[in-house]
Amino acid sequence: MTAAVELLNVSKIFRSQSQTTHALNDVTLKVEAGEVCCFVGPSGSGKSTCLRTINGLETITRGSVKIFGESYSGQSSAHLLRRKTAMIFQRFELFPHLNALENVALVPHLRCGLNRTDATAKARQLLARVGLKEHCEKYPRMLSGGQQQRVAIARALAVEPQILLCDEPTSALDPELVEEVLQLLRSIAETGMTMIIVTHEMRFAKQVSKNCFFFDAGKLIESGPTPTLLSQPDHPRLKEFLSSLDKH
Amino acid sequence: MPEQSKSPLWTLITALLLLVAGTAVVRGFQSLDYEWDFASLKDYLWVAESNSPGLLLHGLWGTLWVSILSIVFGTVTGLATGLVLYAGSPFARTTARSFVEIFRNTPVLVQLYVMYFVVASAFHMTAEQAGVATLSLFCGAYIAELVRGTLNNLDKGPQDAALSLGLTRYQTAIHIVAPLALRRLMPPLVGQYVSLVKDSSLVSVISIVELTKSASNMVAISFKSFEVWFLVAVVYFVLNTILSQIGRRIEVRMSGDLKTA
Repeated sequence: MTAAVELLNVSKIFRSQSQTTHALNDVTLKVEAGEVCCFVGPSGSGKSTCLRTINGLETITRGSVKIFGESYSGQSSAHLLRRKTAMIFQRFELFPHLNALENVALVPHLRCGLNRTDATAKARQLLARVGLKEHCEKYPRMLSGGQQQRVAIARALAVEPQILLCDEPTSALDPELVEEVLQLLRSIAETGMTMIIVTHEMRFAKQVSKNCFFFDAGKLIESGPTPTLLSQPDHPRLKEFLSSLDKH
Repeated sequence: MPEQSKSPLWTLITALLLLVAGTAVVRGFQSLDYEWDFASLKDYLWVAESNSPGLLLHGLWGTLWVSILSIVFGTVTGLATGLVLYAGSPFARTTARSFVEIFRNTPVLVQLYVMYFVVASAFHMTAEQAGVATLSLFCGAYIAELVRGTLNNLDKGPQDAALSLGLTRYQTAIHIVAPLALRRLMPPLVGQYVSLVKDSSLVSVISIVELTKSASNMVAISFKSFEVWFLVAVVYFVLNTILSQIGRRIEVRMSGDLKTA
């Protein structure tokens, strides 16, 4: 069986006049279909960049990214491969000029040829699923962070992705709003969706993911089954990282 | 409303400024020692004998059509050039950049002369065509820069979201970028239009009949230069107030529930 996501020797280099930065340095990893995994690591370690290469939002300098065996061949066709994935962002990134319902319905309407009525009905159903039945008509700025993120999750589910990419889905939330979003992500994980989650919530990572990947300075340092990796870390950088989290 | 507008200090400063301005105006008029005679201007509005519009209304009509045509063509030019500046190939960008810089950094008056005496004579254009063309290009150059700036400063997040969900670049541009950019663009755009209405007075130098040209004629006939120019200023003021109000309406309508834009 082909892996859902396969990265082979992926490097991304930013060049400015004064310096060369390896945002990603020779990353190779594989995520099987139906698997939930987490990317962890200090900020600036490349985990978010790595996630964004998976749906082609970041172009890569070297290596290959394959989604179900297919690789990105160029910007013009990137949207086709992207259709297998959906993404949830740290800062929600809802469309501010559309209400919750329109946010969820827009892409199915434009992309999947669903007519407006069907797309809206589907959006209503999804918003009900994320517990926002009463907030369909509200605009993003009228919703709390947690509610906005749940709209974003509904919007991602609306395109029926095979892989759900989550980029620090709770990092921009007030502490008391984190749980409602994690709860929802847990329930999605239970449906057997392939998920890659960049997160700082170690407890959540342990609960939900099978495998875990630890990034530092653009490199994939250590990976393995989540419980083992997080409770018996091998690499000194991972040990250091985990103990720094415990202090908080 | 910002908090400080309620503070007594600001009220005091505003009152002082008004007092100074008021005193200046009153003292100015007193020292002028001039007999004001607005009544004699009524013939310029409407000629009773022939029952036809007077000079002022002719001028107003001229200003209206010159401004409206220049606004329309200028907006089209500006949007197109702005898009090239934002996303064109290097060669196209350099070309667009040269156009914008030339028209933004030279006086409109000179542009009008060049267009009328050089370009128009080569292409057999009328003065009216040369005037509208110049104002359109001038206005377009400024709008191009507004468009480029707006697009550059637009939050990339929603665009990333649209792309990540599999929309094409074109769909993202039409359904996400355009509506968000237009909301941002409206206020400065209206400001540009207001400027253009005032700049349209310059086409009088190539003898297009509009408000300013009519005003000169009225002064030449009646010698009532103070009254005429005051009246003309009021007409420009009313025109631009209407324009700003329309702009504000559209802005409110577009932003709907989007206060932050």
